[in-house]
Amino acid sequence: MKLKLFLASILVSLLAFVMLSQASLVTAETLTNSSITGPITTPISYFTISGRVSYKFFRIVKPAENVTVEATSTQTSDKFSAQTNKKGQYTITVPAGQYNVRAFDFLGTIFDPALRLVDVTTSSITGINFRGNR
Amino acid sequence: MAKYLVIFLLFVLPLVVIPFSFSPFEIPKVFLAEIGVWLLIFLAIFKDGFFIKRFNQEQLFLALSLILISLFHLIFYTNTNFFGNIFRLQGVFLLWNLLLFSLISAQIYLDRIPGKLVLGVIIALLISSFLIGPNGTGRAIATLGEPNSLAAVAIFLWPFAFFGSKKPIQSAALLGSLVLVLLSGSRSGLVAFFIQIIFFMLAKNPKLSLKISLNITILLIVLSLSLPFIEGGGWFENRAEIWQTAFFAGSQNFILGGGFGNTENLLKEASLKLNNNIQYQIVDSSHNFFLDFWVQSGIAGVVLICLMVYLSFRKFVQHQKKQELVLMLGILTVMMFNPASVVTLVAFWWLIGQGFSSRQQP
Repeated sequence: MKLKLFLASILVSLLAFVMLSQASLVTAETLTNSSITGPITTPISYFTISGRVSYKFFRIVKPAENVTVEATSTQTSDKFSAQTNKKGQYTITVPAGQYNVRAFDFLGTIFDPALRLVDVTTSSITGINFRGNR
Repeated sequence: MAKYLVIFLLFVLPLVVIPFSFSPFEIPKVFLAEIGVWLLIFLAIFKDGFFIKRFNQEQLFLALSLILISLFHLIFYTNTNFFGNIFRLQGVFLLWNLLLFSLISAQIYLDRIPGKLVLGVIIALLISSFLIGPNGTGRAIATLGEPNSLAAVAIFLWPFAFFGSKKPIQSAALLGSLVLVLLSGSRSGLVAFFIQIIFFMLAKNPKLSLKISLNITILLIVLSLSLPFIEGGGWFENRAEIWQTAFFAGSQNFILGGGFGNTENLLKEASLKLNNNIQYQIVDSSHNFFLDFWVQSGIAGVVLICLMVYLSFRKFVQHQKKQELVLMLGILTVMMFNPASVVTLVAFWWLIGQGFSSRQQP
């Protein structure tokens, strides 16, 4: 019986130490990282937003290379972007949702439309095109 | 006393909600589960003759092997090794607790659980689904905090009320669990529910042996694993991508894995190497119980856990334990598609313990 009591007291001390360590770990992280979000626990579908960007100079239309196209989620404000290739094409992969999509380049070109609202909650979308006037 | 502790861990723990840490749903349950297991250990120490010599030798060997692997991982200690991450606390410490729970609970005979008790828990979960409200996607979370965990608990509860109870309780439990699964919006829960029903119907067929019924049902579970790859939706079905990332992560540490409790870091590293969409999310589980073991403990851990599951199934078939088979099939199916909450893990390891139990329970 004495042996059992001795063993139990060691285990109680060990348990108390481990549980307190665990609790302090969780408490410390909660206090220092209040903005952290939890892990995903259910699947998220990803879709693509794609299109073409071009420059118009008088009547000449040319594909716009290295233009950044940015999609901003209307719900979370998360941003996703892609750059156009030599043909002016781009594809952005985003989680399902609604996005404001705009194009911009380093020259400050004004693109038309300035902003497009797209919905990719159930499927990908193509043909989100922008034209910049030079 | 031990019996009531096990009943608390299986049926009352899912209802516990305490405002502490990031989630009032998961972390308090982990603490209570660990405390519950240690209380069982103390009871085991003080009860005469209730100790190692009574443990099933096969189960003890397999459990000690897992503990050895985890001790090896602790040599290369990371900051999430021992306790796990702050969202789930599913590290080495919880694993040891669950293994001990499995060993000790195998010695504890539970009288037939009153159907009314189980029905009461189902009703409590239904009420809490409405009181607590749904999550951001409109899916019920009840006291579990996560829709798929709620579905897993519903899957685990109804067989207790169904087997051996009167018809009104059987029907109410079945219906209540189905409603919980539907409210949770869990597709994997629905698959698990139907898997359980299919097995139950097959087992009732006198032309089919229990072993054949089990094999057919396991085949259906394996086939259902293709669903995330073939169902409609976006080009990138997140779960399939997580599985691919997890498989790659595990292959980086093929023999002994990357360490229990390190899944989040290992998946992150793998997603960066694969340059896929998982790198933009916090993913701390492979969304498949066996893949989690693959990532954390490599082929060694996967073989050990598969052996445990196989030996439990074999014992259940030998002793014609239909209830336990229905429970195990349901829990395994849900765990094949989702992160496992501590409640699901407690249920799973209890079932493993029952599979190794030397007692001939009626």
